Amino acid sequence: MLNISTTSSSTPSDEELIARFQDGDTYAFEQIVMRYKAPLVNFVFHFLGSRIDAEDVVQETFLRVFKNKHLYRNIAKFSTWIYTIAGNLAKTELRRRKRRRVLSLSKMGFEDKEYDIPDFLSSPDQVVDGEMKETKIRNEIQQLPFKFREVVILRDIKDLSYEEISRILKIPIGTVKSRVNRGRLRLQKRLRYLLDQ
Amino acid sequence: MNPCQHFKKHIGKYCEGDLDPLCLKKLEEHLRVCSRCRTLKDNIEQMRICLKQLPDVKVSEGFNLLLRERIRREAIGKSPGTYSTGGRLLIPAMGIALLVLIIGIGVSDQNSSLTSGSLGYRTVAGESEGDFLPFQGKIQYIIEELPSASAVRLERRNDSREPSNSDSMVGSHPPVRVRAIPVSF
Repeated sequence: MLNISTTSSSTPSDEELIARFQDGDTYAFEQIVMRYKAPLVNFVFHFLGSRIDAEDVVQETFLRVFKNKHLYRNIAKFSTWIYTIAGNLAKTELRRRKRRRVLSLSKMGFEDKEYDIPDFLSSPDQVVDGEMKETKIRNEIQQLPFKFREVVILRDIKDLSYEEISRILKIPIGTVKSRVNRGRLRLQKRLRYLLDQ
Repeated sequence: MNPCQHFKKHIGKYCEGDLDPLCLKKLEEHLRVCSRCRTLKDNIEQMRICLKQLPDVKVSEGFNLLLRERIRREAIGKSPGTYSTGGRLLIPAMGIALLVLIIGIGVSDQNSSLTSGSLGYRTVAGESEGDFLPFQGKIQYIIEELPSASAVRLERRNDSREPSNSDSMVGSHPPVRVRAIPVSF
């Protein structure tokens, strides 16, 4: 589950924040931005492979939330709503790239070298190996057909529940599960050489 | 369905512990005898761990500022980096107007008079003044009619030709022609 929709007594829930924002509290909007900017940038980054493009899409996402705050109804989780907007904008950006034939596979991973390296005690060789492995995994995710890519990202990277994914993508849960399974099998096939090492 | 195909179909649920007991028992029996499916299961489990451990991308420090700016622009009804046509032309037009004004003042300071030329320009006769013009003689200025979206550059040259009747002469200096030339940016 998303760990960003916390509902403790001291921290307002996402739904409380958007309700406050709908009432004109712009500080609530700032809190939403602080809460969601990193998860959304990472989410979109997995689609686009470029941090700059991902940030641009996420900025547009927040702008749309700002402009269309009145469209949110408290019948769905706010996270579902904002992930849907970001996902749709990422799809649009991918379609735009396809049209312009500028989808560069080699671009991914070399442009943005600001990844956190989890193990700081590793030797330089291990760090390089780790970065290469990470880059290869990210590249292979990008090679998946979009319908598999989005469910694998949402399920295995963003750790969303099947129900949430179903709501975000507006497809039945059975279809989500089937796509996750097929996406994993495809990705495993592509990453087998790495996983066997 | 062959057992390996059956296993592939349900491996997702198997890895997430989402299988019913009967199906689970069947799959575990198959795993004991099929090394290929065992490898597949191990790979998928390892891959899921790798995916979860992918490091986060850092968000730029200027993200909030940029967002604030975009929202501000949105609020005032301007999209970033776009200006109306009028706005784009306003600054060069003002520059040209200022330049024309300066030329006009300069010409008028030298007590010159304006007469209409036959080729779409105006001619002005003037007088050189000390250090400002490093040669002696009569001066003739030609100011061409300029398109509004052009800048002008003044060029002065010594002209030995006698001024025409339409030119107004001041003093006995040889004429100098000042020509305004459109310069494209």
